[in-house]
Amino acid sequence: MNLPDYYLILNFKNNDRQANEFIFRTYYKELFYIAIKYLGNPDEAKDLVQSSFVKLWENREHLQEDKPLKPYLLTIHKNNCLDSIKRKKLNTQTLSETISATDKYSLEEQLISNELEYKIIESVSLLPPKCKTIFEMSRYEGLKNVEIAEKLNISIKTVENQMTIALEKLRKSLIDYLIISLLFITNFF
Amino acid sequence: MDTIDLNIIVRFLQEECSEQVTGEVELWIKSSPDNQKLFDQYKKIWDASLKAGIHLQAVDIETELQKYLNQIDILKDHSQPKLNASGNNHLWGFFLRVAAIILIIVNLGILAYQLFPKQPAGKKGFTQMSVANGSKSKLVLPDSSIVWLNSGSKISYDNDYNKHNREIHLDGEAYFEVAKNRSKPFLVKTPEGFTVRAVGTAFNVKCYKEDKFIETALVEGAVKLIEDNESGQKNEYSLKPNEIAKFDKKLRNIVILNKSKNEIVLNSAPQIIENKAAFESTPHIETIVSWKDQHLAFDHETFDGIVNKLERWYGFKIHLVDNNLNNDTYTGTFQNNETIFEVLNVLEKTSPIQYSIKEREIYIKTKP
Repeated sequence: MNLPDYYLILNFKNNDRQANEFIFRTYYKELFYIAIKYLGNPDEAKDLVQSSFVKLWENREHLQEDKPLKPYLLTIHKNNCLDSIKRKKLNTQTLSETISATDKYSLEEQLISNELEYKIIESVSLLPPKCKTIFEMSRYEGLKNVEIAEKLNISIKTVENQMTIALEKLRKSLIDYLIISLLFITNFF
Repeated sequence: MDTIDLNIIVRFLQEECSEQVTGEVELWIKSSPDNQKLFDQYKKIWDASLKAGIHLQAVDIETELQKYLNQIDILKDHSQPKLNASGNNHLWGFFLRVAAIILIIVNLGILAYQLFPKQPAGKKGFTQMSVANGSKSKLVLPDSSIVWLNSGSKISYDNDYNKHNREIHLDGEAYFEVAKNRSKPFLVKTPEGFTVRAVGTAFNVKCYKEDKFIETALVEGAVKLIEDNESGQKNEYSLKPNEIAKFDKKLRNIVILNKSKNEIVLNSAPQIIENKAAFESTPHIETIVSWKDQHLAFDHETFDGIVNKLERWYGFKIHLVDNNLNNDTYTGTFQNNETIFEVLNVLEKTSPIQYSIKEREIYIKTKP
């Protein structure tokens, strides 16, 4: 029997600080990106992720040790995102501001591009460890190949190769999203 | 050039190619629609990952983690169950609560009976129900009248309630749905010699000790307000549906108004409080009674009022550090069982405040 989160959930339920921190650090980026996808605004996304983790903690009694934690957390978070959008829609002022600030096409494009960004975060987390580190340093931290090579004490050639592997793996795992998103652009421009 | 080394495309995207190689790559892209398509895919990933990086740079996970752990710490100290308005999965919790309320009432009844066993018949002690800050409660009285008790409130009644009359003592805020019985009037007594008398009706009474006013709001039916004045006489006022009465505890004047009709029904001391001021400082009746449906509502509330309400609603100690926050008023409703942090986050965005948490208490001050 494979129970990957058994002890984690057990400790979390007992209010263990380390378990709390571990869960937060492990899932933060992904939750943040889901929230960005729904809300499009990093500040609102931060608040929403906070409240999702608090909700998980408040509902810890309902967690089952023999089930994986992630689907439960994602369900809480997605409902939380949807509630937040509903609340936003109730606020007519916000809605009219949104409409006037951005025309229909760019809003739609924005949603698709947010979706792709979120998928990239997800796919990057699935890359082989070395590949992942190098890609994150290059794209998220904005480092040049030389700088990465120096920091990791490897050759520039290795950095270049790993970047190529990363990009090709990402392209393959994201091909469906890429096709949709590029179709969209060719249709309207 | 039909094929190209993927390494070169990546370096092209990284802008780490020589001019000559750059030109070659550009040529390759333009040489066929397939090449263009492939390049567009790489480019899309490239740009989107940069954007993802920019968003991620906007968060400091360690700061966020600390914020989360602070919230958990403060919640640990206030882990009373919340009274949820709806939801089937809370049914069991609801039964437990009802059972607990009945138990408390039974216990207090027994306790009271033992404390006052020698009192004359008909005066066999009393029943008391109190709700701490951060909770709300609903209970059914012996005559089937229903009482919603707001945070930080207390009601009590003698054990001969419903024998000759129906008399309740209230400290705090409660909403009543009174079972009809013309022969036994329903009386809500407040500590300040101010009584609300009803027959069969729905109304809200707010009389927290620290409040300046006793506020009575009538939703349906009719009630009479009875004030015992200093000369031992009684002043009586009648309320019609949608009317709100504000009785000043210290100055003992009364204003009755109807917000939906924009009408001042009565002002016993217009020299003390102007009609306009009385009108502006009174919320709409929907706002006044919304708490019983778990809606946290503000209607032209100053920060003092908001802080006061939040403290009772959530049971946290909140310090308002700046006094200059009371010049503006705020209106809004939270109706999704928001946590206190969600409410504070909204306030931070919509008003010039920021909050912080220190030693499990909340501090609100003006944004720098």
